[in-house]
Amino acid sequence: MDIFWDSLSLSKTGGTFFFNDTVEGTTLTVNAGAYSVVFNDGGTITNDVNFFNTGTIILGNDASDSLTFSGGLDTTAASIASIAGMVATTNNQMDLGVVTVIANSTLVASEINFQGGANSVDGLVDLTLKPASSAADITVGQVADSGGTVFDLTDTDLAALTDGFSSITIGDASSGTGAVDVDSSTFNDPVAIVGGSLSVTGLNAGANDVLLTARVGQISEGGPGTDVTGATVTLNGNIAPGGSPGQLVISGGVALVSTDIFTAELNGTTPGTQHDQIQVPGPGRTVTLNNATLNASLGGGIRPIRGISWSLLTMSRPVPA
Amino acid sequence: MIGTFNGLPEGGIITLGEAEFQISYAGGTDNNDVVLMAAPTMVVYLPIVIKSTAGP
Repeated sequence: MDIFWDSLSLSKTGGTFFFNDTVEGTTLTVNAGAYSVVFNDGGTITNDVNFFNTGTIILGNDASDSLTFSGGLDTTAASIASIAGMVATTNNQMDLGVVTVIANSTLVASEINFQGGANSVDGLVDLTLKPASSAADITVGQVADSGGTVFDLTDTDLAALTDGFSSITIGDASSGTGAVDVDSSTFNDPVAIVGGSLSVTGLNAGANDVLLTARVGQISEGGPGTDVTGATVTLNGNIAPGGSPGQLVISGGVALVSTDIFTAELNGTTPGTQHDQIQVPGPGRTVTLNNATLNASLGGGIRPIRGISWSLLTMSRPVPA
Repeated sequence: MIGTFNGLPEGGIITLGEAEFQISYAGGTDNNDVVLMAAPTMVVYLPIVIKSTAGP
């Protein structure tokens, strides 16, 4: 039997409030107090819910549960929030304190802020952080939120993610169309980042795999130096190292997928400034081309003369300092 | 380097504008770069006939 209410206020001295069936409520007021709140099923609460209780909050039991706090969610006062399945807002903000993710989970919001400090979010499962709007731009690894409609995962948010997740996915893999800007950022687990287009520099996943997917636009370098570090970096989409010629520098193995298009502008013979190049420095790297499509074009008035050549993908260079 | 680009085996030809380029997957100092090289072009020498119309 579903649990319905219009306006519900919780207040208790110790103990636990249990919601053991699907909830459908408009307003839920969770007053301060040392008690816990448990949602053992899914449902929807229309208005913003700020959990002021300092006990435990349990949001779902398994990966099939789906809880929507349409107006927004704040669990920062709780000692810990346990999350399983889908926890979403309707394009509103989600502020989380200490979190344990106990089953494969997806958090959906206009903005997700992990405010519990370093290593305050842990789990051994797949965690997806997804903007509520598929058209939202995404930043990863900025110092501060950029505001507006941008879905920001700042350095503080990333530092909250404890080593141990099976994977971390950022973005909307099924319909994301926004631009993703990945700045200097560190991941301790396998990471997948997906959006309409990707500009990336300084993404470091150490010995973990990286998957970058541009659904409708291009995958490009976001600045000088090493752009991506990982065990194997899989590029999925239209790879255009520079918006204009540039160098996409990858430290690690590289795998293209068969549907990839490597768009290489050849406007001169200097890599990075006059022609596109994927650079995979260091010894012992493996690059798998996987029958991807090469789409090269001449520009800049260059006249192809005998002997001219372009190194489109090089593994012959040392690791940049 | 594992595999090739679609339709471009080692030594395969790609046409850019009016010029042809050959692809190699064994370029660079370590013989493992993907390199496009301007393909050797055929040079055709045509006889030049100079015809004078000037009188003696």
